[in-house]
Parts: sequence; C-alpha cells; structure tokens
Amino acid sequence: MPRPRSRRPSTPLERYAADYDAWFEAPPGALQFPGEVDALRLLLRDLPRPWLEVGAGTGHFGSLLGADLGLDPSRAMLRRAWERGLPVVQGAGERLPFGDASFGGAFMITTLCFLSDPERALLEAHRTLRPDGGLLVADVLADRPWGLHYREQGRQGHPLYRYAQFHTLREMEELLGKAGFRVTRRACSVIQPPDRVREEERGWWGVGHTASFAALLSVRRES
Amino acid sequence: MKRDLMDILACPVCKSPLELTVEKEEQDEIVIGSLLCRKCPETYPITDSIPNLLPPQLRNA
Repeated sequence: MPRPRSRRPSTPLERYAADYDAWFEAPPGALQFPGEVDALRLLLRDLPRPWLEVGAGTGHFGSLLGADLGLDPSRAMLRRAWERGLPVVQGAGERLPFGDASFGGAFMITTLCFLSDPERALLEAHRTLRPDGGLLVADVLADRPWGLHYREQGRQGHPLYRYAQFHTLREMEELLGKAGFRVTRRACSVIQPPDRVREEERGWWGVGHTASFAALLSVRRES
Repeated sequence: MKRDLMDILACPVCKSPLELTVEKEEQDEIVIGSLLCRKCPETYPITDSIPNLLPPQLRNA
C-alpha cells in the first residue's frame, strides 16, 4: 500500500493532549489499553536498560511499562507525562537528541503512524540503541478493523486520526528491515472489533488475523 | 531534568555533546537553564524542568 508521504517534520499534537488522554479513561480505550500493555509486557522482559519511549505522549504507556525517559515534540503532552513521574525531553523522533548507543531499549507505541518520516525515526532509534539493545514498535494495523475505523474517522476530520498514517503488518516489518532491524518476537491485542467491545482485552503471542494492534520486538541486525 | 541526563543528551542536529548552564535548581531537578551546542552553534532552553531539544526549525512550529 505505497502512499506519498510528506517530508515535513512531524506535527506536534499540541492542542490535543486532553483528547489523547481521554482515550485511556473511557471505553473502548479503557478496555483496550490493558490488553495493549499486556502484549507489550510479553516482549519487554529481557530488554536491557535504560529504556527510551519515542512519542511518549501523555506518558500512560511509558509510566506503566517503566520507561526511564520519554520523548515527544508536544510540550502539552509532556507536561502530563512529567506529572505522571516519567522523566521527559521535548524532541523529534526523526532527530533524537541523544548520543550513539545510549539506550538498551527503545519503544514506539502508536507513534510510527504519527511520524512524518518513520524511516528516519527508525534509523535514529538504531543509532541510539546499543548493539545488544532492542526496539519495540507497536501500532494499530491499517487493514484490520480498528485501523479501518480510525482511517474513516480521520477522513471525517477527527482531530488526531486525520494526522495518522497507519501501516499494515507487512509495511511495518519492511520499514524495520530497511532501518537495519530484524523482528524476533511478535505479540498482539485488540481482538474485539469496533462495534463489539464488551470486555477487557489481553495480550497474545504472535499476530493473529483478527488482531488490530501488533507489537514487534526487533534487534539490530549485524551490519 | 536531572543532571545525569547530561550523560546521554546530544545536539539533535549534529549529535555533539552539550554544555549545561543552570539558572534555577530545586532539589535534584534543573528547573530553568540552557544547553549549548558549540559546534552548530545553538542554544536549547530548559524551562519548567523540561529541556526543549526540538531542532531549531521545529521549535516554534
């Protein structure tokens, strides 16, 4: 599904911190969030520290998963993350303000879809990870029920999803491969489709055909 | 931000190390200050305990 992509820098979602936070606090988001965290935790177990979250937003995932540092372009989002106890730096994923090999783990959780240059952001993650480090990329899949739902909302002018460029599982793996990563483990969540979210989700190993949320753990390929 | 963050912080443009200037510090937290990249040369502000290391062209976007 190749699409033209703007090379302008990522737009900080500055005005939408409250909208973004609201997703976590009421259904269906409140029923999906625990499942997504569960899937991410399956993959995090052996990742060496410290951990950077790129696109930390308001810090829900980062603080719960125990990230050591969060980065985001939006000051309004970071203020909320900081108040949750997550140390934060304002910056862009495409131009990380860190030295080479600074981190044992890096996360991009529902971040790839909001980056205007995901290729560059993945190369930056590669640069700032130690050789024994791992990258955790997780996102809603473009061709699964929730991806289709969000894309339709974006077309109708949704304040957040209008900026999102979702990827298929194959596109995500191709992006990771081009940036020098090899996917070693996969997990998923968000099995219930948009019109049938009745119970709290959980995480599963692998990426089943009905899952809308995929999490991929990658290592740096030997160059 | 905490001082130990200086171990990993670098200029977002050229990736050189940064020089810290502290204007206000409370307990272990740097509340106001700046980070200088001598190579670029560029100064990045620290306000309300959060360093702004967006590349200069994005800072006022």
